[in-house]
Amino acid sequence: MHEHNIELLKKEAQRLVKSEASLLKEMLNIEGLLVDINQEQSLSKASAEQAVGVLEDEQRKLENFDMIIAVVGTMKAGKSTTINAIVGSEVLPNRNRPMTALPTLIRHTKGQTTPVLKFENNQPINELILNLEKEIQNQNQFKKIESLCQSDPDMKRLIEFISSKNRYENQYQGSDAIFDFLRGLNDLVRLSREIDIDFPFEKYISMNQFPIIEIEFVHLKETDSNQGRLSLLDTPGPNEAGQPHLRKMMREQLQKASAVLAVLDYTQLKSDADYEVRKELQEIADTSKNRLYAIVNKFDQQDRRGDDEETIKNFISLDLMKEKITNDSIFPVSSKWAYLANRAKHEISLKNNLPDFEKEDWVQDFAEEALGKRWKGKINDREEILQAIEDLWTDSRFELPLKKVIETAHSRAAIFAIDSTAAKLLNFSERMSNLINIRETAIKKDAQELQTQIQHLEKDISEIENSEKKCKTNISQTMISLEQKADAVLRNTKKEAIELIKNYFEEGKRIEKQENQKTKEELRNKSLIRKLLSTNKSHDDFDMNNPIMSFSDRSTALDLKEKINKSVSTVLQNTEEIIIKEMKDALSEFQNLFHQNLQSSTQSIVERMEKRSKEDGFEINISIPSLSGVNFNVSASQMLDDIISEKTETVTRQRRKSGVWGTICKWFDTDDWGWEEYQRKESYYVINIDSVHKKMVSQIDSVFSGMGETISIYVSKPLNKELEDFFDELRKKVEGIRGNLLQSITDKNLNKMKQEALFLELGRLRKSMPAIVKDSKSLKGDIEPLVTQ
Amino acid sequence: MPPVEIKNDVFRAMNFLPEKFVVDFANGIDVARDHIRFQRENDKFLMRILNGFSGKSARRQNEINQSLADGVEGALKWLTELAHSVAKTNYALVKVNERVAVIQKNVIDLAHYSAETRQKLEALSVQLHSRIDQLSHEINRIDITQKAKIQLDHVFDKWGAGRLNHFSPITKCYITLEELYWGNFGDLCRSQIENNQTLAQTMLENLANRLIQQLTKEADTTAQQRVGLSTWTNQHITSEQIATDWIEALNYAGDWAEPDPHPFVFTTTQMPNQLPVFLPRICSAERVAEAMVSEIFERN
Ligand SMILES: Nc1nc2c(ncn2[C@@H]2O[C@H](COP(=O)(O)OP(=O)(O)OP(=O)(O)O)[C@@H](O)[C@H]2O)c(=O)[nH]1
Ligand SMILES: [Mg+2]
Repeated sequence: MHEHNIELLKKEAQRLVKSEASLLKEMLNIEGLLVDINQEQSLSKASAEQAVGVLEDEQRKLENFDMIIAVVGTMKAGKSTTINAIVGSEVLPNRNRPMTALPTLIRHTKGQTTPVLKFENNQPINELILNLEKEIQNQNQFKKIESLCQSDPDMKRLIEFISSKNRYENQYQGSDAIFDFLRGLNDLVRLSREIDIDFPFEKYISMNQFPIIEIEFVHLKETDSNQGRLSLLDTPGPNEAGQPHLRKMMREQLQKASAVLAVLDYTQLKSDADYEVRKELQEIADTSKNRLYAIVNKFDQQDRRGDDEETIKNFISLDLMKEKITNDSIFPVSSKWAYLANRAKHEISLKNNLPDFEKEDWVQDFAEEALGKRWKGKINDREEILQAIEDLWTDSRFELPLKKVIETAHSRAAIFAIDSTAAKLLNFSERMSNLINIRETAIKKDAQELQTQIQHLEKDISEIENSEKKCKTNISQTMISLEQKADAVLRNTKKEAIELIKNYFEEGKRIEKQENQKTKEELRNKSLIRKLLSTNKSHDDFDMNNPIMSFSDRSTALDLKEKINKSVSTVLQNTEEIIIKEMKDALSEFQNLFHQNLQSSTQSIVERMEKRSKEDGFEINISIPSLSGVNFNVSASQMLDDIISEKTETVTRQRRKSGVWGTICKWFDTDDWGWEEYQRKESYYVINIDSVHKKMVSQIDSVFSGMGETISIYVSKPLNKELEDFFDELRKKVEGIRGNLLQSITDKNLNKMKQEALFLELGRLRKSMPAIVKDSKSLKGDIEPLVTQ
Repeated sequence: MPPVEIKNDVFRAMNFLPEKFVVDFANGIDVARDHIRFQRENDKFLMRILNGFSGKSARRQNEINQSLADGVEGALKWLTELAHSVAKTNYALVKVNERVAVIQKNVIDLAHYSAETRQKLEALSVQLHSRIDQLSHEINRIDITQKAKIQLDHVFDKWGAGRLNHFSPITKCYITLEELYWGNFGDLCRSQIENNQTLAQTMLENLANRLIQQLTKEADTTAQQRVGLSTWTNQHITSEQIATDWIEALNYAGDWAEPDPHPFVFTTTQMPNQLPVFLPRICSAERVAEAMVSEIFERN
């Protein structure tokens, strides 16, 4: 949908918010209409007041929604520089080693010319510091600490900081303080890794837990503040720490971000193409479809021999991102130039002149890039500088991608804000309408009739409950069959792996036999003493049934080991892929069916209710709650990742390379799995195939033993939650209607005059109801497809 | 007194205007305070309407002013003439008649009105009754349903033929509906509401359907396709003078509308700077048609 259409939807949402709020207020003012009783009603006094509050809140959010542009990218590609370029000053440190440790929000705040960093969530870090302080004093760590301090001045500073009982504050004013804080945070991550203490990444998962820097973005200074609140999210590079928590956090942030700006490094494009980075990028593209832009940074490094723009774009879209992004969303830029130009412009607008180049390094950088080698002669020529700033900005090619990504962020954020409002509007309009219609109609009915209606509704409620039970059984059956499927795949995998090992065993034995013969021949030519020295029973006798294979030649043994390793890895990798695919297919098929069933079974209950009520003179409106759906698609591969990471974490701190098989590879190297290297007077090498076999099966088992739990965490829990929410909402609606009827019976106690007055007021209000319900429903219908787009 | 003539373009497009004017005139006669209410409240446009009805000569103008200044007496004189030569529809006559009955009753209660006034009122009442009888006689002769249908076709043909083309779709819709409301279609509808609620409902549904057809044609949309409000409200008036005439005419025609209960009519006729909250900013032809029909036909 076009930008102006979204604008229109927003206006309509705002309009409806106003009308519903005014209707609710009117209802609150009518004596005896809204009451707080111990019964669910469509609206009580309290819930109507609350609804007014909610609507006011929505109005504010529509005016000033959060738009977040997540800046992601490969290590050292220039994420922070890109952000500095947009902000127009150096809010983020960009040095030649990984600097961004925790995701950091940089929020455009009008009028905030000096940056301020707010860090409400500093407690987990201060607890960490407390632990580190203890650890530093630990004698066992002494050597390590000392060598760290010697090799790295930053570390030294941090350790001093910790030892002198310093703690992190809630707020830091000005670039220098912010800079120190961020660098310290980064050092803290490294230090905890060095001395083996967990950094509390899991306490930094959502936006409100991150540090926030508030500053006015030079670029947005002039723009309308009604366009939403823009924040940039600086993220740690994907290879930064590789912690599973970080990956999980990244995924969540990407899903929430209104737009994603992927920063790739022009100078590293080819080397970025390794499997790991590719996978990461493609995952990002999957999560952020239609709101992803890629900038190819450091394009200033392009020389005549370099690839041209089209080639680069094609390489990225086709090769690197596997067509998950189109060429028109890829932009070669120089963030450095953009940053320097924007910062120079900013300084000049503030102080009318550039600062002294001898005092501020960046001025020199700027001058060299913008004015060339002989910049010193021109640096005091204001006209020249202004022109150079413009040219450098143009040359940076930053304008277009910036404009696009902000536009996208704006419309995505607006869509989400409108969607949230629309859901509430529909809900409130229905509740108002149900209350008004029932109470009005009921005044002219006798109590007996109302009782009958109530009994009908009670039947409806129990029918809904039955329906919920059925759906729950349905889910658990599917889960069982899903687990069975996964189990079957696993059994197969094990069989295949065992088969493989058998083959290698046979191959190994063949080699062993050959070697034995060779050795025997050699032995014949050797001295008796040597013969005696080299006596070894298993070495002498070849035995097909002996699970021990021994080799005198190291490389032969290593070869075989490597072969087993590779084949098993391949089998496991295949398993991973099969399981992912099966799960994905099964789940999306199930979810479709599930939603259909759910909708159609409840639809018929509701339709019957509406029809029956109408025949009895009661106009009621119940829309089926909407199902957002659990997003299995993105999480299927991640699901498996999590099985692994959670397991390995307790076993070993080593980072996994990639996929299941990466982990397995690690075990082959690090674990005792039957590989032994004997070094005596004469070296020989032993592979115990039984041990390999056992170890592998048990490893496969342990890797996938988390499967059941994972399926429960990722599939059945969210499905059940979705189901419960759905039925809760539906039941609440029907119970509300029953409550309205109960209250109507109480209305009968009013005197005739009061009843008549209420009747008139209700009649007046009723007239606006159908239109409000209809418009709210239509708005929801308009916005929903845009959300899932 | 020569019969009042209607020449203005505005009135040709909006036949119901003079009818409304006569009814408003009758309703404006305030017996207790002995003056014409609307003369004080309404603007020059009403005087222009009055002039339009009464020819342009200055002498004539003075005469009108003079008789209006005479209070109820003068007004009655005018009402008699207007009822005679301007009011054509049954609905207007019925409404005026209702008002005259009330005035008659009030005059009896108030001592200062002369016997002559009472006689004039009596005469007017008789005249109105005979006109209404005559019309109902006609109505009986030609089937009222038939007449309603003829009117319905007529107004939609007028729209279809482009007679209303410098208006926005929503204004065309409004004018068409007012014509129907004041005319035979409205008569039939009102009589149905008294006798057979569902039949009246069906009539209005059919009416909405015809509107939807026209509106979708205008905006090149489908019945349920939601588009920005401006699609319906954009005007194509060119000439300045016409513009003010039309604006004043619409202002007057829809002076009964209030923002909350009649957001569509209020917006169409009063052209407020701030749109009413109950007016959707995005809506389909269906939504416009249904709202318009209900606002106009279900007004009190
Ligand atoms: N030539 C050139 N160098 C750049 C450009 N943008 C950034 N750099 C340099 O690349 C290095 C890394 O920049 P950062 O902005 O810190 O990169 P990052 O992606 O934030 O790095 P991490 O957060 O540590 O992963 C710095 O030395 C920058 O000066 C550019 O457009 N051109
Ligand atoms: Mg960085």
